[in-house]
Amino acid sequence: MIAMAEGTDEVVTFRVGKQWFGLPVIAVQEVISHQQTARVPLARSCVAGLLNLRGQVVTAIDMHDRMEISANASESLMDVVVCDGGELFALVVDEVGDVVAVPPHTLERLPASLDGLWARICTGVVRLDNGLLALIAVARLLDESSTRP
Amino acid sequence: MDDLLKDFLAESAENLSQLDHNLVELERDPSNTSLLNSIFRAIHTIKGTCGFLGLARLENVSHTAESVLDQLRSGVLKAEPEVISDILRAVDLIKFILSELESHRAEPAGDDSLLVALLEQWLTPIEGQKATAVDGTTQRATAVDLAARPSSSQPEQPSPIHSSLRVNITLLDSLMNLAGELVLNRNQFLEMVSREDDSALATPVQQLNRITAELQSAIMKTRMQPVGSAWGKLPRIVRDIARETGKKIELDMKGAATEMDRQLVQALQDPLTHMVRNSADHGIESVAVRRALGKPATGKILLNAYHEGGHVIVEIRDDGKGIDVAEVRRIAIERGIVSRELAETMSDCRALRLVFEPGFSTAVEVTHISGRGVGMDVVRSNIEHVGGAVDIASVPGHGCTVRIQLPLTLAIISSLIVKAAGELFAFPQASVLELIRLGPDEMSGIDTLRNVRLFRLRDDLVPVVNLADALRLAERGADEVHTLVVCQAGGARFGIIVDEVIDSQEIVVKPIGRLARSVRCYAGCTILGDGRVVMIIDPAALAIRSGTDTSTLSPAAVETPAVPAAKPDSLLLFGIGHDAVQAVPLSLVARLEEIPADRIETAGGNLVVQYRGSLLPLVAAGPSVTFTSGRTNSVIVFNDGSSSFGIAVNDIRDIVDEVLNLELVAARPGILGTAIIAGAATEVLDVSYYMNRARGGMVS
Repeated sequence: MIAMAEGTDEVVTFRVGKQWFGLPVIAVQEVISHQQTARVPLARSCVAGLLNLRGQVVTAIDMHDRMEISANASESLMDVVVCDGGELFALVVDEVGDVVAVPPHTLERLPASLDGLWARICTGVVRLDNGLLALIAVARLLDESSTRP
Repeated sequence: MDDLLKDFLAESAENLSQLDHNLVELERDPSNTSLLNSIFRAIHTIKGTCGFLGLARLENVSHTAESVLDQLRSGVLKAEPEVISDILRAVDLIKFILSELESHRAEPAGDDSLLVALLEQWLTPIEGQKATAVDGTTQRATAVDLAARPSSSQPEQPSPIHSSLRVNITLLDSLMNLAGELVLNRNQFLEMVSREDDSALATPVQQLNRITAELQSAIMKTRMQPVGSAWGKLPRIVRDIARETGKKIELDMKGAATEMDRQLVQALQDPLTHMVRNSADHGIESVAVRRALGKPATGKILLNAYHEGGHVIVEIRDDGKGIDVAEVRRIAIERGIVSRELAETMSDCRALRLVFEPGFSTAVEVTHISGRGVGMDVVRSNIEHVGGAVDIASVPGHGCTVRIQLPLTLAIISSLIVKAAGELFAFPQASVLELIRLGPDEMSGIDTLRNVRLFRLRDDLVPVVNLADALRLAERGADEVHTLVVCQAGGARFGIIVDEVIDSQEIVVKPIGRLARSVRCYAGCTILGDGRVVMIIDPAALAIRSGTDTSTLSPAAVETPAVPAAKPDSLLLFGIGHDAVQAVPLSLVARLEEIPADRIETAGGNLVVQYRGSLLPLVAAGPSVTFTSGRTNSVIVFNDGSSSFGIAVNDIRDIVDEVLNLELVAARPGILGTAIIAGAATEVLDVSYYMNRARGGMVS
């Protein structure tokens, strides 16, 4: 069975491209409409910029780039603000869906053929009525060593 | 009980911090009774209080140490190194017990009988020793001491209790943060008011502005600590190394009162300890070696702290054997830190800095004192982490200087807000020397040398870089007028071209997130009055990134009487055909031009080129300089005040910083001599010879 921390059975869902992802609800601080960001030239490609959230500097992560999903321009973007290691990050996503309950028994292993990047970031898969939901571990998502320069 | 214990720990920590230093001092100056009295009092206070708190182990140790000190005070014992060593051991044990007390609220279990016995042997002096110790002066010393004793057991002179109080550091930190937020808030108000012509808010906002500035500087002052508080441990460390290795080392400390933010003092502590250790262990030679070299037997380590242009500079200087640059190169190549080609072509100053690279350690022999593998790279990363810089210079055989530059404070800096390619950036004002407006004329006056652009700033050629290029931003529209921000970092000046300067502002430095931190050219970020996030440029890092770093720490910083101070010159290296390379001091060069060979004409048997509306006489830098139609030649333009002339060369190679030391005097005209430059024997051009030839050519 896949080990999951307690309290992760409720997940916030969001969409990047056509794929739906889920994040443990306790990792999410808030969801805001996409904010203007200041560019960080020369930074890793997934860093969309820095934004000001009530006086705190938040690193915005371009989820299209991070998950290597090609971007489609016309979307209205949302920011999912998460906290990791005492630092705030805003995940820039296409759409934020409902909070869904994921009982541990519905969680399935990642397919063995999943590519390296996703296999490293995701913890498991949940079958929903309208498709598959990939669960993401925040710490792995924001691990610098797996990002592209 | 808990509060009593806390107070006792705080008080003891204060007492002990001075104790090491005082004991070492006493060893040097055994007759200093006031010093001895203050040591005695410190131990006495600890003993007294711990008896009261029921700390038996601590009491036992401090009591025995006190008894030995008492013997010293009465003159029965002399402050020999052996006695001091034993007392220092007791002090170490006391420190250990106190630290255990702090974390566990109880004394640790343990047996101190060995140490107590060690101390007690001084209390029953052996006959022979007693005979030497008790002489005529003892009587008098005892008498003097008896008179002094009552005062020492009385409470110390009334301390200025009402003028200072102890404040928790977290409280100070949160005050600092609040002040930072207030500054941001004020900036927002200022911006709102500036948008309206006569706002009713103008006066109160001005008032707010003034008060905020004062509040901020007052809070800043509460956090200032003398840099000397990071030095307390050093005399002891040096003494221990000296005793262990049999060396004679004197540690001289200057500028201990220089103040800086406590966070920086803390950040400085470990690197400083490491470097002083290095100096004492590896730098200073043994007495025998020093004698053989004709140096004074006692090696010197000098610590010097001072303010310089908004920074605190801390120098660690020793007169030991210095660092062997060839050895540094060899090790760096061996460990794969640089390629052989790079190591051999880089200047000595640069090669020396390889010691700061991770994985480098010059200690051939690993002793337990230093050389544990983690070395100067940790020093550098610690210093850079707090926005400082570190550099090293060495004169083989005469010593080594490490220079640390730290900002005064971390949190709030004055900055220059600039725009480049439509984005805003902040520059720390402290590193900005001047701003120069660059119109179309000035822009075209920027010379390009391979891929380095040089701007002629009065008498100097300053490397410049376009901020938008350096950050790989798409440049938007070619504005006619740009601004050159001339910066100073390390020892070098360089210019950064921006589109315009918007404003100068006090900003609160905020750390950037870990995913954006890997880019080394930012010092942090900030939030402007309008809520926008702006990156703060670290000019020094940007210069290194974009290859305009020509900074060197002048080896002249090592003041050794035997060697006259030598300053490195910036030297321009150029090719004259057949792979031959010559050099000329950059300070003599007015500018550099690329001139198509087709434009070079012959007039009266002399080369000339039409240049800025007049004829510029040219002289080829040798017979092998070729002028191929369709190609360009580099021309080095010199100016002697009234007229200019150019020396045509094949190509410009590099600019290096090197101490110009002519080793072979020239055998032929046009050459001053030969010097080792960038690791290769290079001929140095005699500019006056060519000047005469160019002039002669014009006249005839």
